[in-house]
Amino acid sequence: MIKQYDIVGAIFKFFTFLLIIITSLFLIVPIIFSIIGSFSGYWGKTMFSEGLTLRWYSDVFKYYGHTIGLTLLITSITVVTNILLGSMTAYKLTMSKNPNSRFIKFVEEVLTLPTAIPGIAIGLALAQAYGSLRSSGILILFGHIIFTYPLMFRTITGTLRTKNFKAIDECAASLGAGPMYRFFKVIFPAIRVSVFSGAINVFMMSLGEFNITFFLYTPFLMTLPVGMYESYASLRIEMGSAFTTLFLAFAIPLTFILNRLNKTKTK
Amino acid sequence: MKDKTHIIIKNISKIFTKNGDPALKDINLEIKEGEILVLLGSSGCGKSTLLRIIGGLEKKTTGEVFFYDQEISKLPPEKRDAGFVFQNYALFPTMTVRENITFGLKLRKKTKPEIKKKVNELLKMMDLEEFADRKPSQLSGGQQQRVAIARVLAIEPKVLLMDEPLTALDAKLKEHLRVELAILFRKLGITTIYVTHDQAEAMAIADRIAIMNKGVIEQIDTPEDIYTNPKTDFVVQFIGKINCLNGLVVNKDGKKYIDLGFKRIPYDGQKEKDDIKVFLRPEDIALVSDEKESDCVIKACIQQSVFLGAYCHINAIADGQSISFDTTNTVKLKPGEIIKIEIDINKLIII
Repeated sequence: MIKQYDIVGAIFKFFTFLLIIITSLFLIVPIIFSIIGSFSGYWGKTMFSEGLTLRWYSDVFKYYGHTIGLTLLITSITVVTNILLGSMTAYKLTMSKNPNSRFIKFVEEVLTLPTAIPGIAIGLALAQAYGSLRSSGILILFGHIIFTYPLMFRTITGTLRTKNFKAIDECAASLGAGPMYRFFKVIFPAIRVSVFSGAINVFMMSLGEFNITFFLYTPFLMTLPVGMYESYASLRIEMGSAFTTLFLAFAIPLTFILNRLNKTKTK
Repeated sequence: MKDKTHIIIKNISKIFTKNGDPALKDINLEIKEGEILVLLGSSGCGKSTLLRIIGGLEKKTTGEVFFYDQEISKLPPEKRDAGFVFQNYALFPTMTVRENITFGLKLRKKTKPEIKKKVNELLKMMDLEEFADRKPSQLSGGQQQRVAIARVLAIEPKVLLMDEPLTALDAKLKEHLRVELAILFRKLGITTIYVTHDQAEAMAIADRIAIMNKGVIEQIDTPEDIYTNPKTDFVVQFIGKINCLNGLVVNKDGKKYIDLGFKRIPYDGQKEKDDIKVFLRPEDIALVSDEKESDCVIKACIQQSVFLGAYCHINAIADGQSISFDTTNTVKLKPGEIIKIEIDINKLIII
């Protein structure tokens, strides 16, 4: 009986392991194809029918180089804005005299609404409501902030609710500290780990954001993912592959570094 | 304690939810300068709510709070000069013990030498010198509470508000700290409002105790008066152990008496020919020898005798009334045995 169980267990273990391998391959293979394809002179019937080239990389920089700077700028402003906006609004709501009131719950629902609305709808709504601002590119920034804000807000609200932060805040007040001093000197340092986690998530989400930006970009103001889409859609698959490779070469090490930093901070 | 009134609470009430029972009902209270007032009651009686309203951490529904002549209801907590000590200490987790104590002093724009001197004094006073550079997470519960008290004393508040500050500590440490606190408060002379549900703690610390029940103050008195002269049914049942005897008001020769079955005692209250409850503390009942005869000595039948080391706890029936008391008598008493007990008639409590 015990032996039979051992065999079943071994088969189960083997299949779960196989499942992990298949899932990993399913995710990695297209990326590998993209990377290899980016060095192909012409991806026709076979991948290297016209040999190897670095031409597509120089073309990416030539036609879409400007998207790197803009993407980094938008992502950085989004992260900094949401660190301040997310932590301050979460602080205000969780430290209110009656944090479980219906009104507070309603405000929380409204603030986290963007997670329930598809990015396309947010992009369209912004384009319709503030069409005149589109050419300035500020709408892309607004879209990114609105879309990633709930992530930061939820992370910090969760932290502020789990520990006795309300008592800590009240105590700082009774010692004579005003709301701003309490927030920056007492509360913010104590929640910095979750702020950092939230910031990483916001960064990654903003970096790869496509749906909203697609409705708000102009030929001169576009982000990396939109540029990537354009290169695939209107130009050549080899150039799109080079774009993908460059994006991954930028995003993967950054995610890795940020996650490492996050782990160190948590410790 | 001085005679000058420091805190006046006028008609304070608090309703948390519409159609819900009020947490506080028309509270009126005066606290003298330097007095230690303990708000005592079971959980949910409104004592913490009242403290938080005084400290500005909770909004009142109606009423006024005065510090001396100034109405302070609209002032935020940071403008009230009232230091708060919480049950869960609420130390600032990213700051060291020294930084925690320094916090309020920095806000008061004290000079660096002044701050250093004051913090060192407090570290010494609270026996925290060796822990000065530790973070709160590296301290025991007792040490954390001492830091919380040092931090609030550093700002020399006019009023000290303490919300069950010893509840999270173990019994032995609690007993030790409550003696320390009582000595410290009297030495410093700060007007203190102290919330607890622990009667012994209240008795040990208070100048006066306010017993709270369902949002009202049942009685405010010195610990001695609260114990020996309780004024309401709730207070008499809440404070200490007590025996409840059923009596009957009777008229004889134009005078009123309470008939307890085994004894009649004079009565000058309002009731006429009605049932009445008379209360008696266990320590006012004594086991006496079989030979003793007096009109305060009655026979009782042992129901249960429990040996508790230094004393025995006895449950007995005397004239149909259930009575319990403690005795240091080491003779083992058995259930069903007839004993004689003496009741101190002068100590009977009639509400």
